[in-house]
Amino acid sequence: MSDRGKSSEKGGELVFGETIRVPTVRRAIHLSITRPLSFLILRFPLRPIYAQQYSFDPLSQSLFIIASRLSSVNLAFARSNSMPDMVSIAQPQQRQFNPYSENGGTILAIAGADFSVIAGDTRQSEGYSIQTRYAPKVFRLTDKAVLAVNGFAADGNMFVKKVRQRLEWYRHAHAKDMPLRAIARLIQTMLYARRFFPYYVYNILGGIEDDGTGAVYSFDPVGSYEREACRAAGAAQSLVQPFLDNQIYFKNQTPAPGTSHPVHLPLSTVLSLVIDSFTSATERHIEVGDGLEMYVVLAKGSASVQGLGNIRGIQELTATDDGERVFVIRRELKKD
Amino acid sequence: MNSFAERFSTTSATSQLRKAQALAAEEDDISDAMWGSEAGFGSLAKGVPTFSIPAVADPTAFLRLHTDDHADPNCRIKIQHGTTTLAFRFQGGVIVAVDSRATAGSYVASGTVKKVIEINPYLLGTMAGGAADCQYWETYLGIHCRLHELRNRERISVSAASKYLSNLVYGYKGMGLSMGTMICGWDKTGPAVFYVDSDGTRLKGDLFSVGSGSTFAYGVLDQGYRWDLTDEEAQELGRRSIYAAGHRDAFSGNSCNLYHVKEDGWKFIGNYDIAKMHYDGPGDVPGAPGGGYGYDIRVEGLTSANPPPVTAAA
Amino acid sequence: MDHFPTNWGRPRNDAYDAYGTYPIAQRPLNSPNDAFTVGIQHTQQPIVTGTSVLAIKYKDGIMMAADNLASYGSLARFKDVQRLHPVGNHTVIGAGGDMSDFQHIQTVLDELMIEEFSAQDGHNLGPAEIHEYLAQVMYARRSKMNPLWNALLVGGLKDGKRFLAFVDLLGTTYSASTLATGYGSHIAQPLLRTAVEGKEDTLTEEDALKIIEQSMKVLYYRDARSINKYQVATITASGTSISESRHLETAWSFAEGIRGYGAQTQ
Repeated sequence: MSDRGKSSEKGGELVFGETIRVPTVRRAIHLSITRPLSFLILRFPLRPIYAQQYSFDPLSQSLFIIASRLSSVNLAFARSNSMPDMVSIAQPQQRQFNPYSENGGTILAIAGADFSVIAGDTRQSEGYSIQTRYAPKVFRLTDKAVLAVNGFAADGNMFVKKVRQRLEWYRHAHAKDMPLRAIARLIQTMLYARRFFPYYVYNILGGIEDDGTGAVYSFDPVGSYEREACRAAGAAQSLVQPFLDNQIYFKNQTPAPGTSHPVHLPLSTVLSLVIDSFTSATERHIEVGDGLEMYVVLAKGSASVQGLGNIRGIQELTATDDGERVFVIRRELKKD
Repeated sequence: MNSFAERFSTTSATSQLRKAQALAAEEDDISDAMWGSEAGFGSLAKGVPTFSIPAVADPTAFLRLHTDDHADPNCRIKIQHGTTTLAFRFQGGVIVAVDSRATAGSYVASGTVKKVIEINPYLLGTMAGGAADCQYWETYLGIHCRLHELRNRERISVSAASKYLSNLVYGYKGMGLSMGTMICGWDKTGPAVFYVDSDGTRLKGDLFSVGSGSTFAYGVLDQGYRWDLTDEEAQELGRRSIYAAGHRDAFSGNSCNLYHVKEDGWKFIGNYDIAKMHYDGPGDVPGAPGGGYGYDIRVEGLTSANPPPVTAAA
Repeated sequence: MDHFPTNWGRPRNDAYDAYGTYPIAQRPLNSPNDAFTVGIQHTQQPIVTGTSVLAIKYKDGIMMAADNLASYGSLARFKDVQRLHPVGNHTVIGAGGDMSDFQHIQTVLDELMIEEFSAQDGHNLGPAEIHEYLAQVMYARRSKMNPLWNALLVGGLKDGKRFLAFVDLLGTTYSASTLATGYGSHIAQPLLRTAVEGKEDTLTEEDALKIIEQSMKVLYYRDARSINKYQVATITASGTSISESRHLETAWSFAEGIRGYGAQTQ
């Protein structure tokens, strides 16, 4: 399918089937390619030891490589009219290490008119073993954004860490918190950057938009996202989501004659729906239980704040005086 | 300090430098641009998108092993998928109609997906295949369409935009991207529809449908399509075709989103519940005949199981 | 394009089914069995390995234990290996899994502590910082598909605060008042939880030692990769201490009467 040619020391004009050598030290090179390229394969002469990054811009036909600690990289180009032959690049399998695991649990978020509730259980498990009864899956990002992560815990924690870093940098550059819809788009690009080595994480972002409405954004592991009114994800999503469809969207319910279903539910109703979702999921799913953390984000001047005062054990986490307020409510779930 | 000690010291000035260099070399996904106002660009911060590739001999095999939408329990990373989409060109512009179901295996992951991606006021893209692939690359295409406008002081043609997208995804051929999209719009040449997919195919045409429900949609589309459809007839044809696919294809359904592209850009016509269309029809909208699309209405009073209402026994 | 959603979202294996001949309802199986878990077993496997590590919180701090065996497959290869390692004055780490990788971790941590010491900035690393550092290292290595094949416990006490947490080759972390790695997470962890949970602030050192000793004994009876020689580390306000090797007193005479346990043939 392709042939290797001579090698050159660094970037520049590159001809078909050429092998290039990237110096040991970190090096980014720009290459322009002389003839239209259909496909590009990076070959590693030795064992591939360190992660590679490269990108190929088909419009300008230019290639961008960052080599880290790799003595050389061979580039093989398929002819522009032929399909890449996937068999021939398969080298003897060096090691088959599975970098993923699954840590159970369920997360859920519901948006109201001027608030949003983001919740998750606190059990972390692997297979049939409970690793710990308290590992948070829901994280406050800013005073108006809360992120819940579910799937592989190590990926989830790392992802939250990286999102927080980017939000902090944004704060340094703009002297304000990133708007919710911008955080959603940021999360999409961050997830998609790992399209070929995905984070095994289902994300649900909840909070308050700039216009003061409650919002929930849900993501798949590679970054497709959508704004919704409610979403459950994780181990018990197939138990919880139908319940929410029925209770939040009033799916398959007929209103009494002369009445209609409310568009937005009040905070007290939403909180009891969340608690019911998790107690029920705990009953019927072995990976759900131990504890429940519910984050409540209120818009500026939201009237819902009155109902919060008498909730047992509620704790305020608001850090700025922008107006939005964040609270967390913790509850026990069954531990068997 | 002598050079030998220098070389193996862990606390000397050179060792600090050495560590900093090693650290910088490892920080693959961080760029200076992320600090400032460009912080929001994510993987685009370097100007061109960059992707982490797993350090294995065959990254494609790695991806194949771990990602899957089917009910195969081995593959935990389920990617959301969109399913029936259609677009056609006629004298009054372009009609774009899609369903709104996303499936992960046999689970209906969402019934409210926006499968029409609004690239800019004159361009629409549809989503079939990997939802993230379509969203991400069509958004990226939007960036480049805007850049084209700024550079050339005119809007990009649908042809050029679709070619840009097709070249982009062709660069990743074989790596597991999955998208079947129609780029629809109105340019100097009039209404235009291009089909672009992740295999690299790019086709110009009058009428396309993509996804597992496409065969059902084509059935309705082909028998009702004419170039000189009126706007109302065309919108009804799009609706009716998506209804047919939603009715007969398990991977499609929930609701239909309808768009109409005219000379002054696209317009969102409406969202129609597919179950509702079956029983009650799309409601009082231009072009709709009134009544449900389901065949119950056509057999009403004509079978023994459903006898005619007892009309004046006289 | 392939219009069937069951085949979407991942690279198709053209070598296997070039023309998409599979019906929609089925799909070509892309792996031998449960690839998700089987993947862990093969190649780049650990060579010389240690088994479980146990740790609990008690009144005065943290107690941790691990036996002295490093196995080479099923061979009890090295019988005097220390698997508990002090890091600074407030922390002990214990490791199961590949012993060479553990030695590498020790080197890295010792180097880190020297560097931090030489900074003389009034800060020194406590168990929480060391755990965070280890978690980042472990996760970075798994992301390079070149993991350090260990399950580690990090225990310590600094500024009056007890700390006990876990990190493994995938970078997975968690914290609890009793922890056990490997085989111990199945056999000893339930015993530890029963004995410790809710009593973290009242258990004395003798109580803790009794619990640990009992659990080590149960492990030795059932874990074929364990040995009856182990060490116990305590981390208290007065610093870290790792005991000399202790011997487990076990009795096997009961096995005589149990079919399938002893040497009976029928």
